[in-house]
Amino acid sequence: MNITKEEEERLLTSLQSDTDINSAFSELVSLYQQRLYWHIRNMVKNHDDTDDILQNVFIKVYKNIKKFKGDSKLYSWLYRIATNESITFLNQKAKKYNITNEELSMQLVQNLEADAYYEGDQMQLKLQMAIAALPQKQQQVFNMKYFQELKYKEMSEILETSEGALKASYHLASKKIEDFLKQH
Amino acid sequence: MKKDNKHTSTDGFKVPENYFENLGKKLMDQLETKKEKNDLLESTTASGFKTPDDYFKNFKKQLLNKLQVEKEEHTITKNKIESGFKTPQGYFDSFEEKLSKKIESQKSESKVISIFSKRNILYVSGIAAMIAVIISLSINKETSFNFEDIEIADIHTYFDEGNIELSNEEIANLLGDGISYTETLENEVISDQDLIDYISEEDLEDEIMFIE
Repeated sequence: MNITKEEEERLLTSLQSDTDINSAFSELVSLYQQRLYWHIRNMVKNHDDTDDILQNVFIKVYKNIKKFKGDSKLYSWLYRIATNESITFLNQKAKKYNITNEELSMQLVQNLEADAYYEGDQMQLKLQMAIAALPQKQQQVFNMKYFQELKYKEMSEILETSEGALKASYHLASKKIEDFLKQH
Repeated sequence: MKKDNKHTSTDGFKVPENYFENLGKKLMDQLETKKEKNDLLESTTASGFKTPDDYFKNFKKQLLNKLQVEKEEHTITKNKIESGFKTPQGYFDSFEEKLSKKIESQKSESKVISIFSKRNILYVSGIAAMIAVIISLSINKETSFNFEDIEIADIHTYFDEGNIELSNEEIANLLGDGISYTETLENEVISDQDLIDYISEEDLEDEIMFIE
């Protein structure tokens, strides 16, 4: 994350004050909108859904920022909210269509071909299919490491999982993806 | 350099006859012997370990094959492929404005309602009355408890503290006819040491006589 500890503390103080909140919130949005967008987009695949979730994430942050105690880093808190919102969205969608989460993952990727905001070639689409075939947790780990290039330390803070477990998870996910690509 | 490319001794040193003629052959023989020794070392060692036939010949080939496979396997992770997702033009430029409008609209939707309106006071007083009735009922209930409400541990403590004394007959009546005393005793594991301690502490003469 390209923000120092001191800068984060200053931003948090402003966010929790009554006078500076609006300018600080604007700074927060500028700083994290793209990262959180891609984090959500990689999970839910579709732009419009991502847009809705991203707005909800920032609204939740705005409403709850005073309750944030600073036990974890601000960015990991934001990522956690974004992750939870995305998972809740996916669960609700699967429930709505009466299908499993695995079936939903595949369906979301199949919809990409007709998506106006997807310009991947056959190889990129195949990679998305390989990711969709992974368990949800491995999908998260792979997306965060591969596409977002987050460090294991950062991922560990966001997902509240040990770095060792994340490395193992990423290795396993990569292996499964390689196997999938060889077979298809 | 001497005449005819030959060195002749001028200071008294001599070499064996035909030494230089045979030197080349001698060196070649020595090199051949060393090579044989090295070949031997490649297949066997002093420890007695052996390698499969042609192991070292094939090792390099196998290693290169393995490296090639690993290289291919890691094509995706090494040569990164982009996700292929894109956003509408200017999406991030307008996102903050859109978000601000949404926050503002949510703020205006949530009206401030005074809790001291006449209607609310009626509701609150009704709820308070109900709570008062529930509390009074639960307090009354607590005063009339029965035997089932007493914890087993409390009963044990009551007996242990000597608050009640039962005679052997009373205990026998409580236990009833259906209980086999032998089985009850057999289920209890009593160590030899415990038995010795018990016998030495108690005057069991009468009981021993009775059992006999």
